[in-house]
Amino acid sequence: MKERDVKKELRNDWREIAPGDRVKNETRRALFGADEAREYNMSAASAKPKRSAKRWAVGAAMAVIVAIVVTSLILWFPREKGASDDIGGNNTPVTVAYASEYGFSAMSSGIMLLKYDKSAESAVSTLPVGLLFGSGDAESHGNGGGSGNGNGNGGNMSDDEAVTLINGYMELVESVLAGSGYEVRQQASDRADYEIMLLTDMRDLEGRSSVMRLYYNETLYEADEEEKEYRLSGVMELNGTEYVVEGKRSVEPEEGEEEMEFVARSADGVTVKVELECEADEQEYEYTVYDADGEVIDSFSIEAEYDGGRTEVELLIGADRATGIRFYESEHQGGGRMMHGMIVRDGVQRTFSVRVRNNGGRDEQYEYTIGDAEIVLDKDDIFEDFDDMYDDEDDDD
Amino acid sequence: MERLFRLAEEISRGNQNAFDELYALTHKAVFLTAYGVLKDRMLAEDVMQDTYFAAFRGMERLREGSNVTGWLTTIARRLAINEYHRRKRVDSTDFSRESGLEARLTYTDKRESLIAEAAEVLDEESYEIVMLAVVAGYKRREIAKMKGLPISTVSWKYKKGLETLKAYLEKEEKR
Repeated sequence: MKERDVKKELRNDWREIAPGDRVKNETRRALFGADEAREYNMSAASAKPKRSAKRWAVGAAMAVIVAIVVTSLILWFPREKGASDDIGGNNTPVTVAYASEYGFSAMSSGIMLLKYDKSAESAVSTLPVGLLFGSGDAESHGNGGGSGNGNGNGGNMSDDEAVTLINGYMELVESVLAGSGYEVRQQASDRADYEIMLLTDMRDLEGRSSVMRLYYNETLYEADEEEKEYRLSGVMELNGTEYVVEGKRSVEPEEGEEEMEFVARSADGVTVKVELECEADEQEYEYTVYDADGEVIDSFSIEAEYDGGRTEVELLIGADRATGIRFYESEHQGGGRMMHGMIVRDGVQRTFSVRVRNNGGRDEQYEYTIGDAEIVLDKDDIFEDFDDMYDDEDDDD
Repeated sequence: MERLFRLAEEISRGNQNAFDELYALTHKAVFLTAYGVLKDRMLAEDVMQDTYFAAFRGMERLREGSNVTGWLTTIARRLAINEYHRRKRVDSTDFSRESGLEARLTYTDKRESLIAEAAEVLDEESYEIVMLAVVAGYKRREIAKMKGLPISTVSWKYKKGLETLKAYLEKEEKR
């Protein structure tokens, strides 16, 4: 067990026991009187009150899927301990670890913002809101699309739903497993008020490419003998729309730990917060999406673990993290690559395999095979069976 | 710290927005302090509410430069301890009722939450430091200021606390 597992378990427990808004609302009433019953909803990212009569109808599932798909393109960056602060000149691949995480966070949060920002030119289409949770008709999306080949025994999730859900993350995951992450490039900033400009190519779920530009300044905020904290402020340009971004990053060099928070906000008040924690060979990104009233409309996490030459990517979706997809290392087979995985939701798990065929250039075709639904009972770890199934090392215990 | 003090001042002037902001910034620390004593979510929520109410009724005691989060958690701890002893006294004299504080702990949070178990396994200060850092997201220097401790002490207790919890979980898994 690692210390990271302890922290993870504590944070998971927090989700179970965290107090709701009842205390806040009752305390407010007690302090200010019952007739002061206006709802002050907070944007958790900015901690400033927002009053808005507008309620967003949210295509959360699609936004999240798209965000993760694109996000993963930058997720796998070799961490360079002791990297120099000199990050090179024009169009140079970024050599500093933190800049790649900023670029990654910006791009992934930008995709989600595109989903919610009705005034922006959005390149991303929407799946039915209920798709992730068992309602609505599934549609295939993705570069080249995905085709399901299952036995129809879906339990709480049909083959099409499973394929659509998995397919939404495939680019992300494949980049991580193949170790061929996309580059974050640094160019001379063309905005006078920002020192650094990062660019990255990205694709939405329909395969359309665009370039994300992140302009920012980063300053050292606080430092002591063990930890340094930096603050970022800037703007992100994506698909013709500009978003305000802010962030902070803390580094403990001796512990080999880094934490980062990145917040992007649309003009309409929709906010995406990305939190990153890095430790040794593990990276975990947590996403929280807030509507204009500060209400959480979606949250999910992506974790990549590199251990003994094997890479696993795990996605946990929903505030309760009850839907999970785990991807296992790929292998070459018959002119393409094969990946294995498991998807778990509401106590039902389904294994799957994905054959990846290259269609030339950057386009790829994914062919899915979905296994039978199995009931998972009383499992603390929703992926418990997965480890047993795909662990090809001898267990000496 | 100064920001929290300004917010507290605004609250005393009737600014509800300031209350929302201060609550967002401090409620985790307050709740976890109460929860560490009571190990029961509902009781901790009640104490949390009482904490904010008591705090802002006694705002005049706050001075410029005061550590607002530390002040709130101190109030929360005292109220939680009072509540714990009060319930023990009530439960110990009621022989007809099976459910008491200990029984509630048995059936509610104590067996299910590592946060509750950490309150048993760690000393009070280490528990608070670990929870403030891991769950509430405070930096170690912020915790040091909050608790009036050197950063090195906070770091040491934090690391030791995590090691202790790790060993505890490994031992539990082997059972």
